[in-house]
Amino acid sequence: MESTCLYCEGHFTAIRSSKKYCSDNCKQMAYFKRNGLVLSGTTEVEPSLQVPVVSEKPSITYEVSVKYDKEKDTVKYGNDELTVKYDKDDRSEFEFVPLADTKEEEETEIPESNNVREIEKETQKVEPVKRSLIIEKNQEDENEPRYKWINSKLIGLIEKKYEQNSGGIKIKEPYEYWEYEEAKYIVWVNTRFRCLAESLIKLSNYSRIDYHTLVCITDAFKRLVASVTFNKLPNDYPFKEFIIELFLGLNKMLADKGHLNMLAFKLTKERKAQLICIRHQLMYHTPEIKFSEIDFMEVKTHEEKVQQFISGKNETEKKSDWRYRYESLKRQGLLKNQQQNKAA
Amino acid sequence: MKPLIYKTKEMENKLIVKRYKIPEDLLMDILRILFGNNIKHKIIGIQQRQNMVLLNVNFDLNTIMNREAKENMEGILSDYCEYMKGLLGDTVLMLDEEDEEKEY
Repeated sequence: MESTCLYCEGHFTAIRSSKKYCSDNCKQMAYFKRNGLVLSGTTEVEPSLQVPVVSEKPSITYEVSVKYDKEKDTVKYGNDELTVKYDKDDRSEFEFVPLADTKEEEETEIPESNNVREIEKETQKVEPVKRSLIIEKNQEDENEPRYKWINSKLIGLIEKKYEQNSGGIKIKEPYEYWEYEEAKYIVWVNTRFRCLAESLIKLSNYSRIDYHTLVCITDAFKRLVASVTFNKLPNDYPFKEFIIELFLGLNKMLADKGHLNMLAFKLTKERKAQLICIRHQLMYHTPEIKFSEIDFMEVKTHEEKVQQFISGKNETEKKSDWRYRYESLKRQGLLKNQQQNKAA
Repeated sequence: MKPLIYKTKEMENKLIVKRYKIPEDLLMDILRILFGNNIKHKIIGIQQRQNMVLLNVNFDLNTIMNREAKENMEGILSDYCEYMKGLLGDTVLMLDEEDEEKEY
């Protein structure tokens, strides 16, 4: 019975009608062909064994591809894409978010700025309520009129005085700026002026002061201005004129308001700012002494001390400075007696 | 129609009351800030000897204007404190609402 081999297509004589291959070799090769196998030792697939390549992709695929990321995974299933987002704190809870634009996701290396933008976009999608609240807040902020900063006049004046830098190194380091003798006078005056400036600022903050206080402070200024040390001050001492100006102003006030027991003591903003500025400069470089404790008597020279010793006057017998001042004021009739003061 | 404003608990916490002692030198500047920005305030006392006004101010920190006004006020007061260091004694210009001031 004549038959055709299914592998080599050669004619052969078969005993059985069901015989397909001419030999065992063709039978084996046909088996390999069916299963896509290549004989060992051959590099290329036999032409007869090559499977034709399908050029057209089928319209419906059920291929599943997964892209892994730290924060989210993209699962591609056919035409649909899903993103699995992980919660950083609780990884078991996640949600599926459909992607709007898959092209951006397919890029392997995305610049950081784009990445941030995408994360922002995603957060906007995930939290629409929050997003709307932010927009409302921004709109609210834009609608509000801009705040107009208000500066204090007094503080502005103080800062202006500071910019003028009337003291500077002269106050910080008097011994470096002036000669020793001059610097000594300056330190002496500075200590007293600081005390007087502080007293004036405090008094100006009170609503009312008594006449006696005004007399005392005017007298202290008078002693300071009249002192030999003050007159020996160098010409470039920055506060000399201002001290004299204050003394004249206090004298005028004393003359004008001498008939009042209690009076309002006010300084102009300009003058107060200057006083505060000077006092602030002196604060760090001059010792603080209370008005009741400070001595406005001048520092005696060695010669004067010797003369005093020769004349036999004992230092311990000398009354304190404030007592001298008090008595001199009393003699001049500037002070009332103690009983009247108490009643006042 | 005016949109409804819902105030959350967080927003309510930003409505605060601050107490200030305003010296006479700064009174006009502080009042300019309060009136200029329609900030609710109340004068609760005066210290006659020191010429100071004790003021309770309600701030709504949800609004920029109030926040800025608060910063403005506190900036002025802290500058003043710096320049007057040692002259104001124990006087504290910025207080909390709970702090009591008996010297009216």
